[in-house]
Amino acid sequence: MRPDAKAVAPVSLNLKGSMTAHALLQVPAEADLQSACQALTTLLAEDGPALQHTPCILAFPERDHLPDWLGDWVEQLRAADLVPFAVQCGTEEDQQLTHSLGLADMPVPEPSFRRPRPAHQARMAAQVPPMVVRQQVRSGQQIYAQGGDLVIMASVSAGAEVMADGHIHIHGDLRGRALAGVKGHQEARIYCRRLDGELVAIAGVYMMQEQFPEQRDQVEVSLENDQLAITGSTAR
Amino acid sequence: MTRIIVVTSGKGGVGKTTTSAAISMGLAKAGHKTVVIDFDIGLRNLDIVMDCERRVVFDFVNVIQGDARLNQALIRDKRCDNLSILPASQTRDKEALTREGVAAVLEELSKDHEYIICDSPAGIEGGAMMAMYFADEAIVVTNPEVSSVRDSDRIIGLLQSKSRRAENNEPPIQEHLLISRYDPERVGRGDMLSIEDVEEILASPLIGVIPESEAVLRSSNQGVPVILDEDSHAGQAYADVVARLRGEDRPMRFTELERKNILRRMFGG
Ligand SMILES: Nc1ncnc2c1ncn2[C@@H]1O[C@H](COP(=O)(O)OP(=O)(O)OP(=O)(O)O)[C@@H](O)[C@H]1O
Ligand SMILES: [Mg+2]
Repeated sequence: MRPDAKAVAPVSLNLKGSMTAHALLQVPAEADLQSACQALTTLLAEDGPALQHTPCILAFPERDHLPDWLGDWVEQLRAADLVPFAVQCGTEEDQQLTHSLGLADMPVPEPSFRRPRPAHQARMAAQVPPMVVRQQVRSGQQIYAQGGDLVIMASVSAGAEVMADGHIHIHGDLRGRALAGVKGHQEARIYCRRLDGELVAIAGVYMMQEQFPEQRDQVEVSLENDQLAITGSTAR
Repeated sequence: MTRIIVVTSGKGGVGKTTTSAAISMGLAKAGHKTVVIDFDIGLRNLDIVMDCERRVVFDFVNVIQGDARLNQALIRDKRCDNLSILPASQTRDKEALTREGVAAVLEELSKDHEYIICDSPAGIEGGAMMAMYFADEAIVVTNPEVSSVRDSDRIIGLLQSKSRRAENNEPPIQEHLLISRYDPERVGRGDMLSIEDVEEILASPLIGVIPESEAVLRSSNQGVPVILDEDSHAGQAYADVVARLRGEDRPMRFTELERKNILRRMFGG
């Protein structure tokens, strides 16, 4: 035993998984460092105090690689009192770059759910009666209402996927994935009693759980100006 | 009418074999002619929990392949005349169970048994699918943690779509949810899902809650189904499950922290 070892009382460290709140900071594909910094200034002017010391995951959706100005971007964020701690990236190169900045790499959410959108808007086939499912849709199950709406009288489990060419009505909780308007119908909507889902999509535009708003009861999801709008209440 | 009940879970190690042994012993002791079948081909541990491993001469696969007659393979329990065990084989060949072969064995057992309990292997592969295919009822064993609940959800979906009843458009398999290894203290600390959480996620009728209990390991090591340990909470909880299977209405027990325990801990007794 080393002579100084007895001076230190042994402690053990607890390592536990935890899901803490963090922000996902996305930089659009067309942005360069300059325009990203400009946008940051605007964001801080609006929400500055609220954003201070917020842990963030950095994301650069729809790029093949992380931008080479990632390091500068991280510095800018730190200077603005944000706390970047991880970067969404896929390739080994990008992971190395991320690690070299002392940040963790996180997987990019599955892109397979970004379905190619048909060039012209498909029309809703109103003639097809809705498909009605009475039982809970279980993990591993997939249901597709072709040509019309889908009505589910129960909940959709985590790990289940429901799809419709038209609207999706879920009378229970959505804990899995729901994709409405899968043939490109942009007016399609998703309704559910509670949104605890993994992903929602309308006409190929999707949103993952981490981007869902706080209001998740009696939810309506629609597509507005190429973005998903989620409205709901907090009352349960 | 014979009731064929599969004990299944998806996830491994959640307590299927413990449950199969306890339930079949309980039903047999209540006077019902019962047989419990080990579908876990290649692993074989029901016979150890039932303390008959040294009496296995022929097994389920031997019967299916025509190497032995059913009554040569059935082992009568020494403690209870109404109970027989059909052991799994040690051979690694899981493909040995054919649907026709299993159907023939179940049909023959149905002639003189009221209950057939099928102890399913873990997973959702061939063996588990075979164990559930002919079932009338299913006991879905779940531990109160997210991965186990997720797998049970998956299994319930398969029960509803991939069974003989589903394929023939007959009334569906009747599911019973059994929460096992429940520890109210850990639920209180937020380390485990509560009964309400599990019920809400799985939306399936609850047939019982088995507390986490050292008696289970002790019993299985001694080859005694825990239901015979009438002093243990786990044994009593299984007795309640058997009563409910027989149509009795019984309140849930051992689901809340006992005050006595709290006091004992507070005063270090
Ligand atoms: N209520 C309980 N309290 C404490 N331990 C338990 C309880 N139920 C089961 N166990 C223990 O958990 C382990 C797994 O139990 P068991 O063999 O019954 O599970 P299984 O679902 O049949 O596993 P497998 O998927 O491997 O077939 C055993 O060591 C058993 O003693
Ligand atoms: Mg087992």
